[in-house]
Amino acid sequence: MKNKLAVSALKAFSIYAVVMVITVIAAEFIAPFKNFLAALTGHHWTSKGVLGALLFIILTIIFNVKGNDDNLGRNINLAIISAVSGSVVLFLFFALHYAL
Amino acid sequence: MDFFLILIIIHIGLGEFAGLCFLWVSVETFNRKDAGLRRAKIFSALGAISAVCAWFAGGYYYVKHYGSMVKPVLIAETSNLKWAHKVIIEAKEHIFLFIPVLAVAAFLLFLKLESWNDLDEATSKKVAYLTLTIFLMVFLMAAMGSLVSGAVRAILGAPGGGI
Repeated sequence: MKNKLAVSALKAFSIYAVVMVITVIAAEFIAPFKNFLAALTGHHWTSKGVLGALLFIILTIIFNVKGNDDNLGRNINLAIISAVSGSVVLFLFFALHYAL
Repeated sequence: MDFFLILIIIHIGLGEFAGLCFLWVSVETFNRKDAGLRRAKIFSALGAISAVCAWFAGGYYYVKHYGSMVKPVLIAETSNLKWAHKVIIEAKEHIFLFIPVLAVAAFLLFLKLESWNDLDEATSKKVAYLTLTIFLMVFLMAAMGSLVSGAVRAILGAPGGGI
């Protein structure tokens, strides 16, 4: 099926999800990084959202222009796995961060 | 009515509407009826727009109101429900960031879809599971939000508290 835009967006989402999880966890351990994020827009959460959205848009455009028409099914699987596992990792991280 | 109360109602309303839109899209995709493709396209667009608008409404509430008015109640010295902020809200605010972006990706998929025949049976099921995942993530956000508002009400002794 020719749906390069969908494949590009799903691939971009999978990378976005991984980068967001790493950014969130890194910001909890590296105070200067969290302060840097907070200084960008006034709140670290806003900065994560803005930078994440930009990353998603840029990656989608790049994959759409340069990427091949990859396997849609595989990229849907990747997007679901990254969303679900990213959510579980974030929940467990904050639960452990609180409990320990 | 208080501005932030209106804002949180808009956030919840748009978020749940987005979730229901993607549940509808999921059902249409499982069914693969010709007449359903147009509806799936419309509801994927409405769902993505609602999810992004819920992000802005909830984000403004969170940054401008929650941090100064609600969070201090939850993490006060005397609070025995600190987990409501430190686990539930911390996880919710970040898991939330996945939903509008995934919703936009799903919308782009349907935007370019001209016929169900463009998808083989196996891929079609995967698309349905993708949109079902969005619905379930929205449902998770609603449950987490409800847990936190219940915790705040319990601390303040407001009606409906005592979870």
